[in-house]
Amino acid sequence: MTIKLFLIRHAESIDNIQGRFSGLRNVELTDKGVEQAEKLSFRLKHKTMDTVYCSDLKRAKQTAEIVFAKKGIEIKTNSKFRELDLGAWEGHTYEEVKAKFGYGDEFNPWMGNVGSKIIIPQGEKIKSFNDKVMNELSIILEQYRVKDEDKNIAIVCHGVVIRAILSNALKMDLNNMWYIEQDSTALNIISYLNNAIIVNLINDTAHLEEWCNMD
Amino acid sequence: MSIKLILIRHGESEDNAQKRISGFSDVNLTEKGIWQAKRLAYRLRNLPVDAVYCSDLKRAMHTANIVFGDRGIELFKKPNLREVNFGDWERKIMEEIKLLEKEKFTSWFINPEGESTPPQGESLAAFNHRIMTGVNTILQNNNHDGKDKTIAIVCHGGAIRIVLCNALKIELKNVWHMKQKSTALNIIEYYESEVFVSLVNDASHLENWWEKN
Repeated sequence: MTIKLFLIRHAESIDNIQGRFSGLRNVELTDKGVEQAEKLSFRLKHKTMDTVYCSDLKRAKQTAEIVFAKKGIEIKTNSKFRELDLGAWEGHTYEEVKAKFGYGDEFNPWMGNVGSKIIIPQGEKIKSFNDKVMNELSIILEQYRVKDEDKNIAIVCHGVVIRAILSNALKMDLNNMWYIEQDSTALNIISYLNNAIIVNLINDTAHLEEWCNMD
Repeated sequence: MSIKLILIRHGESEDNAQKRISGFSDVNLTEKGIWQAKRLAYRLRNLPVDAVYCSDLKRAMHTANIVFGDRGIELFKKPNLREVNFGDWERKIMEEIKLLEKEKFTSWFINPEGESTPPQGESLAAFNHRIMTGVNTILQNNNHDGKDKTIAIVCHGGAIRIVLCNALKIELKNVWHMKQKSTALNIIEYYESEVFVSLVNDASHLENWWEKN
């Protein structure tokens, strides 16, 4: 029947506030990030998950533990849902990378040409990253596809992982994935039906907004 | 210069509640639809908007009035922001049309160029052209003084999907892979040469997790 996939981006990390490319760097959440994850936890308090997966990077694991630990559900770490390997860029800011590698106007902060015009030195190719993520996802979906039963699956992971999965669901060109925004603790939902894939939600961070955090 | 475009689907209509197809048909909101619009009004009460546009169909105008009516700004009514014209399928039960007109129904959205539209209805390509002409005119009209703007458009599920598809360069035949709930909030940010989608189908104001009491 229907599998509902909840894709959650990790909360704000130390690299996020310093504007550094993280990729595989194992950075921690900031205090604000912890608070964001707690707000998402409150939001999902009554939501039942059949299984929870999480990237093996610290910022995703910390987020998953805050959001789901109280539910007493096992959080399965899976290295296939790690962020894109940003190779020689990791740890540097946008300006530093631009200067160091002599990129011109084709390099922009939203990564618009990454994978097409710009190849990251020692980094991962978008295509093989996408194939790795999508293969793993289809194995999980297959495993939970039970006749006459609906399932909820959560994956706590990273901006590029989520953009890739959404791009596949929407049959988008992977080169355009950068035009989907992913904020800290963003909630995204995709429904996998027997004969169709429907994107229900993209980049919802209502739990961080003021209107629902009033006492 | 940037324009933040807030796209809002109307609240539940009488036809939505009965699972009927309505495009050009001018049906009313249900009581539930009015409640949904009030929840959205509460959510957006502190959000400044520079201009509000809406489809000229009642369900969109009524929603826009509930959400933005007390702000003392004009609501611009635009007939070209109407939902797709379903022709002879208007007001029919969706599941019945899917069964009776299976082939036409499928090929209508697989072949957007429109050799098989709903009888007397609109092809997806024609619908796309109408909506994008309307939206692009709104963007241009709000782009003359070099200031950042927030613009709201209250319209319909199909129309919003069209705008999102154009922003993400998704082919028209894949337009139905996105859900649009009643009073769903969607946000697209238009910069000089780039377009970002920052929210799709957020109806969290209809959920109850945030109600403290």
